[in-house]
Amino acid sequence: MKYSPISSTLRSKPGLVLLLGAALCLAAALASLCLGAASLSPAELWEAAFAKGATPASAILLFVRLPRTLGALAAGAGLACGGVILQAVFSNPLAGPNIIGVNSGAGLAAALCCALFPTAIWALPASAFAGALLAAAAVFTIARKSGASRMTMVLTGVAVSSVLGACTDAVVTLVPDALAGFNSFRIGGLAGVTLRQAGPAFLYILAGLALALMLSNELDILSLGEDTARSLGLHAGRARLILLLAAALMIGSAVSFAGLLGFVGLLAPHICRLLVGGESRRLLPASALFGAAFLTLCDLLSRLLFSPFELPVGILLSFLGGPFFLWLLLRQKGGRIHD
Amino acid sequence: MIELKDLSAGYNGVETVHRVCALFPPGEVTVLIGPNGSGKTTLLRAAAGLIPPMSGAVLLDGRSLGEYSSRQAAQRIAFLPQSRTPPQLSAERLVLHGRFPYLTYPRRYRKEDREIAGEALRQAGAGELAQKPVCSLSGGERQKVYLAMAIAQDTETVLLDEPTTYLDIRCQLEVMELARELSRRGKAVVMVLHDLNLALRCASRLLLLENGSLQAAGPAEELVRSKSLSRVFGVQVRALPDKDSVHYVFSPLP
Repeated sequence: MKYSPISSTLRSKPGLVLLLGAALCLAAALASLCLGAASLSPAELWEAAFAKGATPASAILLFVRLPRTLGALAAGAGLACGGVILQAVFSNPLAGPNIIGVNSGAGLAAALCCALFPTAIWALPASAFAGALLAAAAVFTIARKSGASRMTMVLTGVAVSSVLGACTDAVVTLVPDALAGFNSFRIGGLAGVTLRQAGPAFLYILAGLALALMLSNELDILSLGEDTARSLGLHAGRARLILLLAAALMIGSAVSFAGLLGFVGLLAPHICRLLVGGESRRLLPASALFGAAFLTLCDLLSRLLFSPFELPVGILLSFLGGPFFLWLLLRQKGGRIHD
Repeated sequence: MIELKDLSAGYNGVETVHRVCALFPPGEVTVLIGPNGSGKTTLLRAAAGLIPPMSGAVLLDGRSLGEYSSRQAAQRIAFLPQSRTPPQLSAERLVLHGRFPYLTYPRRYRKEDREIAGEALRQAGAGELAQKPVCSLSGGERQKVYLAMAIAQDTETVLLDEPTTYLDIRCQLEVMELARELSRRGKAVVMVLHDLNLALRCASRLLLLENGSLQAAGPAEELVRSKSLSRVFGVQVRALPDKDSVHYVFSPLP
């Protein structure tokens, strides 16, 4: 890979990149709180936040903008970090939550949960988490049995995704009542996120990030390949399982309220890898920050682009992510960097 | 010291290495040679504990390798596989991960580990590459960085699977010189080599494999003299003594 002077300068200053990411996050969050169908100036935002009684502005802030912004930040960070982990565990740069079927696993589990226990909203994140984990484990096992090539894994992901998608369709068709909102879930969007959904998810995602950061050495070593990892004394199987748990926790939590958002988990890690290099202890926090800022900005854009109509952010992401994925594929072929 | 005792090993229930007995003594460069598919890499991976023996045992100081925890084993044996995904880590960080078997809580590398890693990079002749991402290095540079990782791992045995393949001649010689330097420091260096010329010139001991069975073991002159080398490879081998070394010439059997 050719490193431009800018990226090699930045790579020697990872602290600066993190600071930049944090600033970007803050700016995106502020913009997301202020702008929308009814825009507030920063001064009005301040007033609304500290107003005594309930004003219209404070209601918008508390029940619409704040949950939505928190949700975007959390989902962006969770999907991006989940992507970093999947890419290292699978030692495959193409492993993104939506590529290898982790999203569809979470989606199916969420659909089943809605259909079977329509009143148990609290169980949704847990079932999405379980679905994400099972799908990741299934793809990993099958891909390993059928050969080590990078492409095998992507194709396995496609196959597993399509089976899981068919199951989800079946559930949606058979139990239409429970799943009135399922279409928007499938596309992925952040309209209508509530604090009750975003709050716990935010905590789960932070917990997943903390776990992943604790295991950043293991994550680096797993990306060196099975034999090297084991000869360094790493229990590769155990480390993979724990890291997949962390990834599933983050991705499942994000999917449980934001729907099947694609490509954040692929875009953010790759861009951050150019900025801070491949060391997990730097890549994880950088991806969390940039993923959060990226999804928040995309969500803002999808709100403003066709105002007063709103585009689900999932559509925007797929528009951006599809070409990016193709670019990754083509670059890989030319460069032979990734095997 | 690693000792192979009647070791049989293979994959998916198919035995490809049969009842091999061998020692990997410290201070020597032991080279595994043999035609394609003779089980060299399988033997090396079994010795590294990466695949379990199908029968027999790999002994480390007289105790079965399986009795050691993976961490303990990694403090005694380093293994560099042939094919690797070039990581996006910096060379310095990769070498630092060679200290992973010594990592204690809180799971962070200490100053001492950093010093050992820096010294290992210098010894491998890759000191100036510390900050570069490994995936941006040439094949020879990459190999030196990986060898530095093995040095940082600070084990008494170093196993290398075809460390010179795809390298140009100068890098090949540098890698072999580094291997010999490690053996002079008392390490047992064991490697699989495909290049017979390089193997005969650089090894202090050779293990000759054919179809998974050990055919001969000893220094190069002995393998040439006993004709086992020419029988297994199906070529004629002649030794041409030079001032301070011996050159080998291969020709088709008449």
